[in-house]
Amino acid sequence: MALFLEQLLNGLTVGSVYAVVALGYTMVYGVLRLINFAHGELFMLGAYLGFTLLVATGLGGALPLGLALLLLLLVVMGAVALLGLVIERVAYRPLRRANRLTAVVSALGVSIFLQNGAMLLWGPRYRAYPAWALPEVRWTVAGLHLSLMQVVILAVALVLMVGLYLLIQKTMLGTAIRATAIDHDTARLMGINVDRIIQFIFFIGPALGAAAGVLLGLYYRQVHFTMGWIYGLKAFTAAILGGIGNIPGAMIGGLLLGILEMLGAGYLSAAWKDAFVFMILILLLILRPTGLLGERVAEKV
Amino acid sequence: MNLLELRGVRKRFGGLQAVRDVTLEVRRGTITSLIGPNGAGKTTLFNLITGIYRPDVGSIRFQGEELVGLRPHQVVQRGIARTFQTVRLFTNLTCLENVLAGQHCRSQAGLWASILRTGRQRAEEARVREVAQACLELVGLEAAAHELAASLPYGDRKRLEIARALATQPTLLILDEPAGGLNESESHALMELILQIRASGVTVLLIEHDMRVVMGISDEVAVLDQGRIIARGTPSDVQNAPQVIEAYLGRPGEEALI
Amino acid sequence: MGVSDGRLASDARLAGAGSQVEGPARALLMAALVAAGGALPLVLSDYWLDVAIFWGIYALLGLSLNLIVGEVGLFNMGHTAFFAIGAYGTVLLNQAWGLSLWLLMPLSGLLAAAAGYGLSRPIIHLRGDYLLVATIGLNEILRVTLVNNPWGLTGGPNGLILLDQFTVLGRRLDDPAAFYYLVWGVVGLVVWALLRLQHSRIGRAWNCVREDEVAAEAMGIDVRQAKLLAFVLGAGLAGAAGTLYAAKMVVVSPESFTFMEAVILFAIVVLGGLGSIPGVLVGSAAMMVLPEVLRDFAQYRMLFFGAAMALMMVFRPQGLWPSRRWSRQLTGEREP
Repeated sequence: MALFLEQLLNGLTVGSVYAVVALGYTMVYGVLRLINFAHGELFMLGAYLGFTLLVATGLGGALPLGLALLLLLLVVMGAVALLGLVIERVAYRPLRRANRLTAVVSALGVSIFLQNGAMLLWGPRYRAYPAWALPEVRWTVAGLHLSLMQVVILAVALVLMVGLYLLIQKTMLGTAIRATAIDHDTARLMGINVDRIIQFIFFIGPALGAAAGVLLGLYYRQVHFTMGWIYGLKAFTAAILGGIGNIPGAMIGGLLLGILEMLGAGYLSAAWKDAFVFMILILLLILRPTGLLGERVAEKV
Repeated sequence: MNLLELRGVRKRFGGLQAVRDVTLEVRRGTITSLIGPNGAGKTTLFNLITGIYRPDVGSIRFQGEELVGLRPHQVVQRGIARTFQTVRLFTNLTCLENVLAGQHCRSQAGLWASILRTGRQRAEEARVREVAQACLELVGLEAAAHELAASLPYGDRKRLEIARALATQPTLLILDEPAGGLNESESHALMELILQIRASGVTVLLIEHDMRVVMGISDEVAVLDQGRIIARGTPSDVQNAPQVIEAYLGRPGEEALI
Repeated sequence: MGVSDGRLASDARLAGAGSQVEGPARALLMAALVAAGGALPLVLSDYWLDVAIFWGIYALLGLSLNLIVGEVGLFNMGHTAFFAIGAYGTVLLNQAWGLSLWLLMPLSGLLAAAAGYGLSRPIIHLRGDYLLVATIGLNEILRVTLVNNPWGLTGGPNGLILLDQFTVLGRRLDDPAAFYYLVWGVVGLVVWALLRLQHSRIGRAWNCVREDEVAAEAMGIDVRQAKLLAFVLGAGLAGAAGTLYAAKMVVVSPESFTFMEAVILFAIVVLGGLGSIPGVLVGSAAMMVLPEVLRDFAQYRMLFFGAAMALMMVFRPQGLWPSRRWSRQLTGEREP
């Protein structure tokens, strides 16, 4: 039972990171029907930028640690979001009316470019997040170990998810996004600037991905230029798990995938955990390709 | 003898009962038209016959054989070919290649025969090309054989689709709004073509909104409304049936069809 | 002879954009190419012969994937899985029973084809993106399996060593020139077979499926079977290429079969021009030979490659040597 709860908590932590990354996939897919393969790399860049900023600034000085971390998170999110806009402009927008395969290949190209760019910039070896970034505080609640790290990650992820949900559901902009996801042409006729909406998606998605990158960097303490692809694929699996194009689905899918993965690692074998995730993915695609919430009645993005 | 018999066919999509209890016969050697207001379930019925959908209840027998449960390509093999309401050609292939596709189910050459070009494969290929050529000639597109389907004007695309369906050497040809979008002279040519197809021994079942076409060439007409057959008979019988006039003409916006 | 002449002429027409040359001129060109290819070992150093050998192996892989992606339009991004099955199968069967590589090449082809059948059957109906993701997943599951060394079979991250080599009259083909002829001989044979297949009933059915599945099925083509045949055939060819790869590399390890490799194969097909056999040869040259030419920039190789992939899709989506059929589709409207 202790192992179960332990793994459940670990799963929730990792899963909340997956969920935040999955939001980026699901939003782009919802609006453009495109698997943005570069999204995982934006997540990876977020992790690297967070690393560089942490090391460069030392986070020391005037600000309290929490505020400094928050500031760092915002800077990283902003920088990667700008990169997302550039990518959309250069590699996706010219292909919007082209065949789907073309856009997929272009996305893969961007992904390879970013991955190797990161390797050239930061080197091919693992880089370690400084240990002092978050103090090592642990509590034991009813035999369950809980670290400050986990609390921070869960809290930040929750804020991001709730924020996005409110944005999509409660604001005019969110309504415009949902309308665009359903039908570009009709949205355009209703006076929605579809290009703007797509740009916004490519701003907010990468920002979320970058934040998740920093969180994961803090959690696992190490970053590597290939991390984007494996975590990206897992987050994408999470998006499919919840029903691609569906925002609450991505959140639930992420949490669920994290939990399943950690339980698989705990009870089966850690060496097989990635294979385990992909088996879930394939089974899901065969048995329920619309995902858990991907019913026709469910709202797309 | 009835070539095609539908008995108590029903199909529901979620809350929509698209086809409710349709019984219908198509006699061999006739041109039978299926008419009805938009949304009456005509195309759904075609999709049920051709195996794209599976009926919830009911039986569809063709030459005495049950079709329910067969996949679309198996239905084609049994001798039913179709066209689509929205033309669905292989647009990046040539006209000849499009029509050759129809001969796929009438030829056998397998992997090894195709690679080794056995004598039998070559003979088959020659035969297949002859049939395809003949189908193109029938619709008057032989000159465009090596043009891409995408390059054809709309009227020709519709004719090419008919040629492609004929290349499957069907017993029953199902046409979904063949005259839709055609101009006066084109629909005249189309009527000629359909009569010619019947003369060659192929039974024709068509959905059509253009009443000049329907009344001009049909041997029998069935009227579908809200998923039910509400009238059947010769064109003049149907034209005068009160329930048809009610279902059809009673609605604003649909007038002047009969 | 009359019949086959007519066939040749129509083939030339069908072959489309890649070959404006027809008839005798075309035959002459082919003969010149073959002669030039045959003479290469006389002028190339061993190093460049090795490059040409890898080009040949990747051309073979590209051709096999082109069947699946280019001819039928199935997005398979896990093709290295079948390549890996062929390579590992070769080493394992050779170790276990000492089978000759000549026998193992078709045998690992069969093995990979069987795996292709078993693995693709449940997922072959998935549409576009979903199939893409499922095949990525399959590839990754296989790679993790290879690394985890189940039952001590796969040798873990270090992989396996192939001690045997192709032999002719008792002489091992370790010599690069001999191996070069072997690889390109196989490529030639495969190209010959694929060209014939392209212009057959089966090839036409594949293209119809790619163009419009619903219409293809409604024209009497068994879409599922057509897809499976292409997938199994492609997997089998990749498996056979695995034997050549194992024989050339000697060491077979999981790092040769990563997702990146799958992307490179995919790129060979797309960059060359989907559904185009000459395109695959050009595309694999671009992937295998150019990086060697630009050796000084070796570390930027993948960076350039990624950028080239994206830019190519923006400016020349039809590929370097397009088959006539896709060029229009790729520049046309997006699918519904």
